[in-house]
Amino acid sequence: MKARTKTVLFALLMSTLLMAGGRLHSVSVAVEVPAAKRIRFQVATIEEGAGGRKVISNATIEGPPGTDFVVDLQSRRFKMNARFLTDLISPGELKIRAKLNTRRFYGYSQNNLPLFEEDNQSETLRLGFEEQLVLMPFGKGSGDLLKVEVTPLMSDQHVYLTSGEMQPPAINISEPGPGGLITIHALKIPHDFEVEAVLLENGREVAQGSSLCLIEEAQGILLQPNNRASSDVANNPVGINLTITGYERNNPLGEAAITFDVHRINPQENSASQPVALNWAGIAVPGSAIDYDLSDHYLKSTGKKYELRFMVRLAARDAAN
Amino acid sequence: MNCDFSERVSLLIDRELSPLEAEQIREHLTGCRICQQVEQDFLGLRHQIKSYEPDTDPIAQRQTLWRVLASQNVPLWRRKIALPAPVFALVVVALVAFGAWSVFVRTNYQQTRQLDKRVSKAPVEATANAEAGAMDLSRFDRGERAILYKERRSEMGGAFGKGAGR
Repeated sequence: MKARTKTVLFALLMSTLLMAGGRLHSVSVAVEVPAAKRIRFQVATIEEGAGGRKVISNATIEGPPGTDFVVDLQSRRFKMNARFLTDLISPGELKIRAKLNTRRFYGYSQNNLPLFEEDNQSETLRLGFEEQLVLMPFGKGSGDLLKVEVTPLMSDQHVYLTSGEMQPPAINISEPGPGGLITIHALKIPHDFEVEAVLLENGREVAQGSSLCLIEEAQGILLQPNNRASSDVANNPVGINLTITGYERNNPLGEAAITFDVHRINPQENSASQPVALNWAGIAVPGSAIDYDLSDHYLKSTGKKYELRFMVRLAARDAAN
Repeated sequence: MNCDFSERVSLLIDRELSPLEAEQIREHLTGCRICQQVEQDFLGLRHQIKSYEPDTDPIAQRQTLWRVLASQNVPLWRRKIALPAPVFALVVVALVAFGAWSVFVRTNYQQTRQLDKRVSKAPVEATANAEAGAMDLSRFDRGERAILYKERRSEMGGAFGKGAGR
């Protein structure tokens, strides 16, 4: 390999790392963990104060690994929506991605319109089965505290029924909250996807890259020029920052929503990249190609037609399900 | 007083007798006072009838004619109809039934509208009730952000492992 080629490849790798905001190292697509048992999450709402601990509500969610759940807390002046995406990343460890949205009634405007204070947070935690998550909707402070404790447990229930079908998630509410204080939803959708991206020059494949993607997590994909690539493409490689933002089962294969940015990497300027397309989006049916015309955005001066083609597939484990 | 020829006197005046019979009656009249009186009565009556002149006022005639013609063109609201009693009874029963049905429909419609109003208010009331029934969390709220963290759970596990009370 020539020294120039090595330099270019190194620059591409560094560019991709930077483009992914340092997240490339943390892209931990759920590994193939032989987990034939379901996972149970105990969700308890607890009031803590001078009088000790008091359980307000208690429920369990049980489902196959990768079961997501939502905890909604609703009172007269405060609402919280906490969404938990869970992935079993090793036999004893879960990856929990939590998205917290709170809405607090603030008061009334001069025109007597209600005012609310809203807050959105995202947290990613690795959680062992000897640990638990503690969510404090009103923060930590002095006086009475409200906690939602989420405790993972490995269930003794099998993921699959004897018929071979996957058991759907189940929720058991042993202690409902007063007045509909807490509601819980659970769902199981694919989390792991294989995304292949191809750059076409006048219909010919000139660069290609692929990556495993975890739903709702940005992933960098470097399109590696092949031997058919022109010098224009070889000197202006493309990197993509792609996120699968959602998945809907509205047909047998389902549909995956994607958003992505395309960057042109300039190896001669030490990893500096230039945006080609930002915040592009689409709906991909797993197994079907989805094309985007880059001609007006990438190497336009060459007069060639450049297309970006994505192929999204369910990862092997989710495809089996 | 009566004479067997009195009736024939009338026929003589009306010239309905044969010439022979007329001659015989005329001879009788010369000697019978009764028949002479009857002849005088008939002739006087005949004269009165012939001499009668009716009062023919043209204006009154026209008015009378107008009334007659007008009576054949009665306005709809002044016309009268005649119905057989069973038909009239049937019509009355039909009208009463229609009136009762109208009242029923109107009452039912008003009730439905009132129910609709109640239903349209229901979500608001339901929300209000739900809020009224919801637990008041304001005592926990000091305006801070929500936080999420992990901690090692106790050996007993979960919410009940820390001496949870009720």
